[in-house]
Amino acid sequence: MKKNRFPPWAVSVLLAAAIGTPCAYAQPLEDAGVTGSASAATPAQNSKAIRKADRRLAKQVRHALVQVKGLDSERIVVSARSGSVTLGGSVPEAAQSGLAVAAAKAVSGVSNVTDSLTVKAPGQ
Amino acid sequence: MFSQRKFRLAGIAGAVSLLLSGAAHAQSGVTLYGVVDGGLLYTSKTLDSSGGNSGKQFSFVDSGSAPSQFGLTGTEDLGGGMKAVFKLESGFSVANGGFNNSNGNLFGRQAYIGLANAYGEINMGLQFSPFFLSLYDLDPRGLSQFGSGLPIYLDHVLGTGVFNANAISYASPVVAGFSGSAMFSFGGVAGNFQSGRQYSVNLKYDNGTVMVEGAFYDGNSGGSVNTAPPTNVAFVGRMLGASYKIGKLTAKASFVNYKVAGGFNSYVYDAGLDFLALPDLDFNGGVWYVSDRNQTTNHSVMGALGTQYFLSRRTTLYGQVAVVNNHGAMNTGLSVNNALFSPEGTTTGVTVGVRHVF
Repeated sequence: MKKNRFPPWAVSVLLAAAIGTPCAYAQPLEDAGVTGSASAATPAQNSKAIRKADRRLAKQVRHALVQVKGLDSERIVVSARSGSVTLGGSVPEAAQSGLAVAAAKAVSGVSNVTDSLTVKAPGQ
Repeated sequence: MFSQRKFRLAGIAGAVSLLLSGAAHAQSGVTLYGVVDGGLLYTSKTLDSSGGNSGKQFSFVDSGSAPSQFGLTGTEDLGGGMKAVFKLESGFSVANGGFNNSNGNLFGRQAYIGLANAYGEINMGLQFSPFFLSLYDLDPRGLSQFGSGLPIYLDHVLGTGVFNANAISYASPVVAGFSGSAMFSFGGVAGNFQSGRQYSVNLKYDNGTVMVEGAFYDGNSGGSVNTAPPTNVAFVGRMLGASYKIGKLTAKASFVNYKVAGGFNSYVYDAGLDFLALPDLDFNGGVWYVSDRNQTTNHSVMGALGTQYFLSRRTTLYGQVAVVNNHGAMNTGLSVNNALFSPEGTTTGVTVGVRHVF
């Protein structure tokens, strides 16, 4: 038994992947007050700020989807563009796409939701 | 979608009329579902019965990406937050109409009855193990039938741990991002509780961006259920993996150990990416390294790429290409159907096909 434990380096690699990267991701969130300062910014800065806001909104939607009871959101891919959110990827059964759309719409800052979800159950 | 909505409306209407008449019954329904998948397969080598290479193959392949299947699933609301659930799922081949992608029986993929409420779900019958479900969660190519962790799994233990007979399982609800499940499968041999006994557990954490998952499986040979393909190969399985979502990109990596009694003790390391470039266009790829710790000259490395174009919510065109290099006795194959094992050396394979989900 002892011989066959997970090799320690595999554990550390996974932990690094799990813990290290979110910190880097959380960084750009601070100045995402896009709309207010839009007039002062150059177009390049402006589009960068919009992309940051889009990424933040997509993350908020993903984190909202995980909270929904009866929804398996693991394979849902969320993308956002100026308040418009697209749900891609898959849910295990068709009935769950309605739950995902409703939860995404309820996130503040989401103006509309496009449902591009396909159906794929575990083992499919 | 449309028919589902109609069902729901009918259910609500039924519930309202029952409430008015004072009865306690509410929504219930049965859904017919399935997958039909077929395509063409090319492999540059094929394994013959003596372990050598019998040359190229170009063939029609059943289930090039997902296992062809149909099933019935249903729920009945029992009131007080309790519901009854069931699933009957059959696997078949679009190549010849026979049973395939199952344990060989009529409902040879899943057949269970269960009860669910806010405290979790208990299912009884033939079902997937928590170990298999964890592998499905963290395989970079979603356990495609071609060029994924699935051929590697079946190469080691065939259907064991996928189709678990006589099993009872509990799946917890999600609490603060954590969820877990446990399964125990009775061997069914009088006087020998250990014969064919199987159990499995998993634990998962998911916050929407990061997912970490670990799972364990332990199964004995024997038991009262003998199927073709076998589902009672004695082995211990372990897995630990993680995934991370960045926009349209999902990265996955995992470690899997298959310790087969009297066979390989394989460590499998895999990592890959899934990129949903457009809502209807997906690319994914991964690398799998397999090493037998009993005899490290037995090893293989496989790389695979796939693309899917979603013609609709239900119909998908797909193409996949994979290369595997086998050393020693390791014979990692490229495709669950028609190329489950590959001979020593390098084998290249390609599939193109179409999948419909209903």
